[in-house]
Amino acid sequence: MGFRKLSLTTACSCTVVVLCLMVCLGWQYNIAILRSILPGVPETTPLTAMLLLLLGFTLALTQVRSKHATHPTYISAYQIIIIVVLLIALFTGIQYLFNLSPSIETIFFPEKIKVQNTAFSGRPSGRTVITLILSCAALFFAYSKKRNLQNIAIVSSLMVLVLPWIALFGYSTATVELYLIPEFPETGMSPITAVAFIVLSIGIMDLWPNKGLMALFRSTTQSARMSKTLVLIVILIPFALNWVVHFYIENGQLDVPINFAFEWGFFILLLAGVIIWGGILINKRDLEKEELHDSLRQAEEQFRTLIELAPDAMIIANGNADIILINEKSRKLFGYTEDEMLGMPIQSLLPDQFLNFSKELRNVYFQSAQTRTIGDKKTMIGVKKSGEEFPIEIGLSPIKIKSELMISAIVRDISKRIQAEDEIKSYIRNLGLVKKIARIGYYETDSGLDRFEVSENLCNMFGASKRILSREEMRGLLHPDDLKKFKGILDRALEKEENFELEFRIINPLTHETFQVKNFNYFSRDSLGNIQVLGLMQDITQEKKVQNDILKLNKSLEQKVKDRTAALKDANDNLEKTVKLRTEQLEVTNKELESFSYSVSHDLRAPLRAITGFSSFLQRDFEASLGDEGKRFLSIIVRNTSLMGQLIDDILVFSRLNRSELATTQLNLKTIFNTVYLRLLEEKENKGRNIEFIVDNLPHAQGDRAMITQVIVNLVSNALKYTETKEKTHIHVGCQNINDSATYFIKDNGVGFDERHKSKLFKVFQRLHNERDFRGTGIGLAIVKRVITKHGGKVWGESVLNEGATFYFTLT
Amino acid sequence: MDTNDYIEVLYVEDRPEDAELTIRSLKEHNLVNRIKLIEDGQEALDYLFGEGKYKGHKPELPKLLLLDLKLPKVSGLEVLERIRSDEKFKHLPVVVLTSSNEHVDIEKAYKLGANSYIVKPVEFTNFAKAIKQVGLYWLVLNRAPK
Repeated sequence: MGFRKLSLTTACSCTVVVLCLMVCLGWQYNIAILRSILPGVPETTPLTAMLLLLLGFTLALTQVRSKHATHPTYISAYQIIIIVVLLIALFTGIQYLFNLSPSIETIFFPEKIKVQNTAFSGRPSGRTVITLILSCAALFFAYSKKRNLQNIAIVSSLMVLVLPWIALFGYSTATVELYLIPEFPETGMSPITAVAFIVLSIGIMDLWPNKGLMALFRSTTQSARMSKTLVLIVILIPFALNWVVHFYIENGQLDVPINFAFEWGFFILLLAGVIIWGGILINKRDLEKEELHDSLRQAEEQFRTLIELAPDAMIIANGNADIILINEKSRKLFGYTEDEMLGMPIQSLLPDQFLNFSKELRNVYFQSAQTRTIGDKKTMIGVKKSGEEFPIEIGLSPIKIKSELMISAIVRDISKRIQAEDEIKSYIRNLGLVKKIARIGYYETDSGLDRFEVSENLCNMFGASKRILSREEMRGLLHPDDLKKFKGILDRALEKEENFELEFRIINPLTHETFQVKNFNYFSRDSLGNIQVLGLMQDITQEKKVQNDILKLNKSLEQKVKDRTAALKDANDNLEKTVKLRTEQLEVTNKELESFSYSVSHDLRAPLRAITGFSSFLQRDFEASLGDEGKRFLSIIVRNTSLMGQLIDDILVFSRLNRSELATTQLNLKTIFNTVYLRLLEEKENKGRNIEFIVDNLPHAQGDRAMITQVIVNLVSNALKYTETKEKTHIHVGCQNINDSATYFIKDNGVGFDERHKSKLFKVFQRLHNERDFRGTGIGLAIVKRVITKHGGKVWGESVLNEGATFYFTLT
Repeated sequence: MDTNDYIEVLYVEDRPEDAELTIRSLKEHNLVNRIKLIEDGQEALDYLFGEGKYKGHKPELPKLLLLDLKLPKVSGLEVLERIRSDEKFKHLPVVVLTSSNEHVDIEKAYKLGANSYIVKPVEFTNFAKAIKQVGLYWLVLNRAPK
C-alpha cells in the first residue's frame, strides 16, 4: 500500500479498523468487554462493526489515493464501498420506520445475536444509522474538487461528532436517555461505536488540515493554542466532573437535585471564568497584534516612500537576484512597467557580457555586508526594455526586509557624466594641439620669485633646457638687442600692472635659430597679494617672413605699376597723336572726296546738259535740213546723255551713303511703298500700263527715311522695269516672319533673273540684263544692299527666269 | 549787253552753254527781256555794290538774282553771304540755279538766305521746263517789296 507517512488520518483509520476487529472478536469468542467495554450497556452490533470497518478502510484508501490520485480503480472502489455502506444504513433506517422484521442484521453471527435477546437483535441503533449516513456523506464528498462540496464534507464530519459525543456524555452522567432509546433498552450506541465514530470523524477532518476544527488544532498561534486548551477544558472537565458526581450519587452521598445544582453551577462558573480569561487574553493579543501590524505597515510605507523618493533608481532583489521592489526612477530608467519588472532576474537589466554579475551579487549577499559600488572603476552597461544600452554605476548593499536578507541596488545613469568627461578630455587634447599648431608657449612666474615655469611646448620651440628657468636663464633666450626694449616695458607694466603685448626675437641656444616672437603678458594677484605673471609666447617668424615678403612684393609691384603706368601714358600720348594725325588725314581725305563728288555732280552734268540742250535746239530749229537719219542720231545722243545723267546721280547717291549718318525714325513702309509707286507711275514709260500693285499691311519699321525711301524707289522701279514686257504686271508687297524677324518682300511677275548669276545681283555696275532690253546703271541694287546693310538688315533675291523675281529685306 | 537800261534779272553763271540754254528758255516764253549775265562771283558783287569796274554805277535792284554756286573767284554761296549781310539786298529774291544736288549745298544756301534752290536737270526738256517755271513764278507771279 505504501503510506507516505503516518498521518493523523491514517492513524485514525487504523484505530477504527482495530476497534471493529476487536468487536468482531468479542462476538466470535463471546467476550462482552470487547463488544461494549462496560457491562450492561448496549453493545456494538456485528453489522455496525462491519460497516464501520468498511468506512475505516475507505478512509485509509484516501491516503493511498492521494498518491495515485488519478487512478480510476481506486476512485470507483472508494465510491462503491461508500455507496454500499450508505444503502445498508438507509435500509436499516427503513426497517425502523416500517417496523420490518430482522433480515440484513442477522448475516453476521446469527446464533449469537439471538442469544442477546433484544427486540432488534443485532440491528444498529437509530443514532448509529444517522451517524453512519453522515459519515458516508462526509467521506463521499471528501475528495470532490468543488469547494462547496468539500465544505459539505467538513460540516458532515463535524455533525458526525454530535451523536457519539451525546452518547458518551450519557454514559459519563449515567443518563440512559442520552444513549438508549427508552422503548428498546437493549438498543443504543455502544461506547465503542461512539469512540469509533469520533476517531473516524477526526480522521476525515484531518483531510483538510487548514480548515475547520483541524485548522484550529493544528495552528501554532497563541490564540489557537488557547482555543485548543479552552475546548479541551470545556469538553473534558464536565466529563471528569460527571464521573465524580456520579460516583457520589451511587454511594448515596448526594441528592440528585443538589447534585445537579452543584454540578451545573460549578460548571457554569468554570465556563464563565474560562471565557473571561480567554476573552482578556485574546483581546490583549489582538491589541498587540494590531499595534504591531500598524507599526509594520507604517514602517513599510516609510520604506516605500523612502525608496520612491530616492534620487536614483533603486532595485531590491532577493537572494536569487530576482527583483522584488523597485521605485519609479528605475522604471523610468529601464523603461519597464512595474508588473514587468517585479520577479524579473536583475541580470536581464544588464547586457550579456556581464553574465557574472549575478555571482558578484551573491558575493555581496553572502560574504560582505558592506555597501560597495560596482562600476566605479569600469563602466557598467544597462539595457533598457527597448534594447538601448547606456553606461551605469551600481551601488550594492545588503538590506534586511521582513527578516530576510535582500540586496538593494542603486543604479545611476552616468552617460551624461561620461560625455562631459569625454568632452573635457578632448578639450584638453585639442588645447594641446592648438598650442602646438599655433606654436604657442606658456610661462608663469611670481613677481617675488626667481623662477619661471615654462610649458613643454615653449621648451621644444625655443630650446629651453628645462621646465623651470631662472630669470637669468630666461633672459638668456632673448636676442641681446631686444633685451633693453623688453626690460623697460616690463618694468613699466609691472609698476602699473598693465597687460601688454610685445614683439621681440629669441635665439634658440641649441640651434642658434632666431625666432620672431609675439609676447603677451597678463598680471594677476593671488590670494596672498603676490603678483603673478602669465606669459604667452607665439612664434610668428613665419608670419613675419610672409609679411616681409608681401611688403617687398608690394614695393616691387608699386614700382612695376608706376613703370607700366608711365609706359602706358606714353603709349597713350602716342596713340592720341597718331589718332589725331589720322583723323586729320581722314578729314582731309574726306574733304577731298567731298569736293571730288561735288565736282562730279557739278562738272560732269554741265556738259551733258549742254549736249542735250543744243541737241534739242538742233532738232527743233534745223529739223528740215537734218533728215530722218540725222534726227535718229540726235535722239540717240539725247537718250545716251540722259542715261549718263542717271549714272552720275546714282554714283553720287551710292558714294554719299558711306558718309551719311543714319537718322532713324519710325517709318510706315506701306505708305512709302504706295507713294513711291504713284510717283513712278507718273513717269513716261509707265504710262498706260496694266499694273496691279498690292501692298499688304506692313509692320512699322525703324530706319532712315531718305535712305529707305531710296531703297523702295529702287526696288519698285526695278519691279516696274522688268515687268514692262508682260501684258499685265503683278507686283505684291508683303511681310512674313522668317527666323523671328519681320522680312519684307516685293514680288513681281517680270522676266526675273538667272539664279546662276545671283552672286552678282547686288554688286556695283553688275547687270544681269543687257542694255538693249532694259536700261539701267547697275547701281540700284548695290545702293539697296548698302542701305540695308547699314541698317543691320539683310537683302536677297529669288527668281525663276521669265516668271518673276522676289526681293526680300529685313531691317535692324 | 545793255547796261543803261533797267536790269530785270541778274544771272551769274560761268558756263556760257548753260547761260545760253537758260536765257533762251526764259526769252522763248517772253518772261524776261532784260537779263544781265555775269560770269564770276567777284564781278557780280562789283556790279551790285558799284565797285571795281562798276565803280560809280548805281543800278536799281533787279527783280531776281539767278545764282550758280560753282563760280570762279568768289563762289555763289559767298556772293549770297555778302549781299544778305547788306541791308540793301536783304529782300532781293535769290534763286540758286545749280548742278549740285548735294544736301550740304542746299542747306547752306537756304541758311544764307536763298529764296529757292533749283537743280538743273541734265535733260534739256526738263531743264527748259524748270527755267520756264522759275521765270513764271519769280518774274510774273511774285510781288517783290519796293
